[in-house]
Amino acid sequence: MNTTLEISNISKSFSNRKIFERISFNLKEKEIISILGPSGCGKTTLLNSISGIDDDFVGEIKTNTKLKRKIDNFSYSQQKDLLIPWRNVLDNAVFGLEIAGISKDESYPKALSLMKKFKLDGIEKKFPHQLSGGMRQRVSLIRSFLLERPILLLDEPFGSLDSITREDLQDWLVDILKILKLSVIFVTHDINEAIKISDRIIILSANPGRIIKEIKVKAINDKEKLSLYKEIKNSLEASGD
Amino acid sequence: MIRNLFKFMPSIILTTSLFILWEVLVRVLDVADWFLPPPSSIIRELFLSIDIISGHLLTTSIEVLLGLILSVIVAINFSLIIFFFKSVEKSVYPLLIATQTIPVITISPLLLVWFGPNIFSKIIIVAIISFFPIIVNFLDGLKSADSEMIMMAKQFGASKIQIFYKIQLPYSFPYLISGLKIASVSSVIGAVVGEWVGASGGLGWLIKTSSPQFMTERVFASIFVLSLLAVSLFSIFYLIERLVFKKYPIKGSG
Repeated sequence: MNTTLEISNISKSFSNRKIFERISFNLKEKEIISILGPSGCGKTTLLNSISGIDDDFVGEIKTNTKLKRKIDNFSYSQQKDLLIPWRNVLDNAVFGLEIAGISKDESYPKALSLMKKFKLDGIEKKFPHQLSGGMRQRVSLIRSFLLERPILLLDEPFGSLDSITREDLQDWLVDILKILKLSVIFVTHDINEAIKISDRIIILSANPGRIIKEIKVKAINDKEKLSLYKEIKNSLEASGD
Repeated sequence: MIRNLFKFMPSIILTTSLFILWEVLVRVLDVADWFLPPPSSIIRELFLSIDIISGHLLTTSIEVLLGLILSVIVAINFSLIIFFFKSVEKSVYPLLIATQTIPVITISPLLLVWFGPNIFSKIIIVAIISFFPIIVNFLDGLKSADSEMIMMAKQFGASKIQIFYKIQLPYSFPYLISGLKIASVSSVIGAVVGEWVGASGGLGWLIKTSSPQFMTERVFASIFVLSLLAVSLFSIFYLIERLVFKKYPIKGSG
C-alpha cells in the first residue's frame, strides 16, 4: 500500500516547554492509526501541526497527494462538534462544500444520500440544539466526510459523550470507515476505543510526548484483546510517573 | 396572539392600576388640572387636540427616522472599518468613547449654530445620540464569534471574507439588534433635545411651549405620544429579532 502521509522527526516547544518530541510515523493509504496517550502528551497540538492549522514546529510533514494547499488533504473533527447553531442539520453538513463554492443543487443531494447511507436521514431539517450529543457528533463527522479529503483527523471525537452513546458511535464509525476507505489518524486516551477502531496504535508518553511503542492490531478475539489491553496499559504506566 | 397578550398581562394590570390610582387620588385630593391633571383629562385632551399633536408627531417622527437611518448607516460602516483595521481601532475607538462623555444637550446649541434651526440639526443630534449603542454592540458582537468555530471554518478552507459572512456576521446579529433597540429609544430623546434647544415644531417644542401656559394636559398628552413613538420603534426591532430567531436559532435555542 502507498504511504499517504510521512511524518519525520517533528518536535514542538512552547515557551521553553517541550510539547512533543521527535515524532515520526507513516500513514498508509486506508490505514487507521490511533494515537494513544495520557492527557498532557500533546495529542491535540500534534494534530493541529499535522493538519496545517499550526505550522510552528520543527521537522517535516509530507503528504503524497497532488493537492496544492496542505489543509486540503485533511478533514479534522474535534471533541466539540462545532456545529453552527443557526444552520439546520443539512446546511451544517454541506458547510464545507459551500465554502468550496459548490452549489446547493449539487451539495444537498450528496449530503442527503450520505446521511441516508449512514442512517442519519429524517433529521435534516432539525437544528443542532434539538439533537442529542451523539447525534450532533454524527452530523459533525458527516460534515467532515463530505469534504472527501484523503486524510481524516479525529481528536477524541467521542470524548464528551456518555459511555453507551460512545460505544454506539464507535460501532457506527467502524462501519463507515469500512465503506469510505479513508486514511485516519484517531487521537484518544481510551485504550479500548483504540483497539476497536484502529489498525495500528502509537503510544505516546506524557510531558513531552514521545513515541514509546507501536502496536499492530490484527483481527483478534476477546482473549487477545484483553492481553493487548494489558500490554498497552503496562507500557503507559511504565512511561508515566 | 392570545398567548402573547397573556405574557404581557402582569404589566398591563400594573399600568392600569397605576392609572386608576392616579385618577382616584387626583379627584379625592381635588388637585388642580394645571398642577396634575387626571388621566381622563389627558385622554380627553389627546382626542381634542389630535390634529395639533399628530402634526407635531409627524415632525418628530421624520427627525427620528432620518436620524436613526443616518446613524445606522454610519455606525455599521464605522464598526466594520474598526473591526477590519486594527490600527483604526487603536487610534479612533478611544476617542469615540471619550466623545460619549459629552452630554448631547451641551453640543446641541452648537449644532444649531452650524446647521440652523431646521430639521438637519435635529437629524444630526438624533444620529449622534443613537450612534454609540449601535457601534459598541455591533463591534462586541463581531468579536463574540467562537474562536474554535472560526478555526473549524479555516480548516474547512474558508477565506477571511467567508469567515466574516458565514460565522462572524451571524454571531453579531443578536448584539446588533440589542444596539438598535437601545438606539431606537434614545433617538426619540435626541429629537426632543434638538427641538428643545431651537425649533418651530415637533412634540418637544410643543411641550416646551405648552408648559409655561399651564396647558399641563397637553404636556402629558405629548409625553404619552412621545413614549408611544419610542415603544413602537423598539417593538419594530423586537419583532425583527423574534422573526429572525425563529428562523435561525442563533443563540442555540429559540
